Amino acid sequence: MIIADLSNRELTRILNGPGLRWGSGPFSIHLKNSIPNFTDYLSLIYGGHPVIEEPWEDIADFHIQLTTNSNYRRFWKPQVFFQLDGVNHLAPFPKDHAPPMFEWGWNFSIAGRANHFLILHNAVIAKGDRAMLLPGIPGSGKSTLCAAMVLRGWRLLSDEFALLHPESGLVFPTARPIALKNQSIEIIREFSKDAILGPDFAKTRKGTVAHMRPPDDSIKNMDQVAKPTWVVSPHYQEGQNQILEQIPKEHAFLLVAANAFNYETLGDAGFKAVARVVKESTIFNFRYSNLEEAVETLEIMTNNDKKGLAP
Amino acid sequence: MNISQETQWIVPQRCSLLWEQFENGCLIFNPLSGTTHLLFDPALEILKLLEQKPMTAQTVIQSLDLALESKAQNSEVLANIWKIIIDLDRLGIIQPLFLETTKNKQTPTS
Repeated sequence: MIIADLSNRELTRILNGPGLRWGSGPFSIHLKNSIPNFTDYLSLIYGGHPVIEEPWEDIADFHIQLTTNSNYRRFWKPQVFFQLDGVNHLAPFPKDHAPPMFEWGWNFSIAGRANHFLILHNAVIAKGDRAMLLPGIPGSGKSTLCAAMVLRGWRLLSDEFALLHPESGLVFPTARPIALKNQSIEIIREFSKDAILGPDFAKTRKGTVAHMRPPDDSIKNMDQVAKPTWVVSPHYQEGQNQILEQIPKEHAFLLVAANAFNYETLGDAGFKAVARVVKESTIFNFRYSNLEEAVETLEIMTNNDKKGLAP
Repeated sequence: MNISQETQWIVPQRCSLLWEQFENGCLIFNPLSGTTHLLFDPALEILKLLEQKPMTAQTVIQSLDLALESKAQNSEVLANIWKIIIDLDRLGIIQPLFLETTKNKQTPTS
């Protein structure tokens, strides 16, 4: 069963009662919720994810609850709280911003707990089992490029985290939604009619945010790990001529390591994992302004690169 | 003891540095501090020498086998090597040999 198989009424009942469990790659999540408009979001954006049905035999990785105020604030600018294991870890958002609260809270949870992975702040997409990592600071165009590539047939592993398994050197998918911000929302709507976007949430800390539903194929294949083959650091700038240039490996190492949440925490395992990515991948800086051309350029580059393909 | 030009330097015995050599530089991971450093020559060559055995700045120069033609040249190079050694010390990658010896002597009674 997938989440979309549940009626809105049934989903609401489960979220208000025992909670809903579903799988997201290597993680399972257990969510309780009492925010009314959140159910529509969950059904639309996470509709393709597999429900873990009772009896629950495995431990959930994340026990999350979205709650609202129990005092007078229920009536005056009500808020939504993100609880992980019953504790409020984050400052509340306005109640009608439950979806971005949930997404950022879950990101926070993964970043703080999944230390069996080297967690890189990258979007990750794949063709077959060859993965492209897209590191980038906020505003670099990472999510926009990721969404565009996915809408052209690439498999989405994650918009937020490259979960790099230190021993195998492979990336684990989570197939969670892509968080688009500000102008990117309209750009992606115009880029493809296949994009399924949730509602816009205005005036968040990052401006207006909307979430793109992961393609069903990406969800179905979210147990399929991928090997880092390319690292492309995007830099969107209006009017910029397109330049795709390789980065020297020694500098690429610092680029990859600096984008990790837990590089220091993992110690030598983190060092070895980054070294492996850098040695086995081709690493680029990518400056662009035209999204269509950018996607085409990366398609051509990857199609011409036979590295990692079976002979 | 104070640091001087006679001080011998060494990579601490309990510090097993991890090395990843790339075309134009080398990444070093120091497990004692958990830090990573990108080193180029000549710092890289100096570190490789000090990982093998303790050396003073002057013996480092001799080991580098530089074609120095005058005392003035030697003084200039010595000053530069000394600066690199002090930088490596500040990064916690090397230390004076007397600290290593003191540590070893203290270990049985501590």
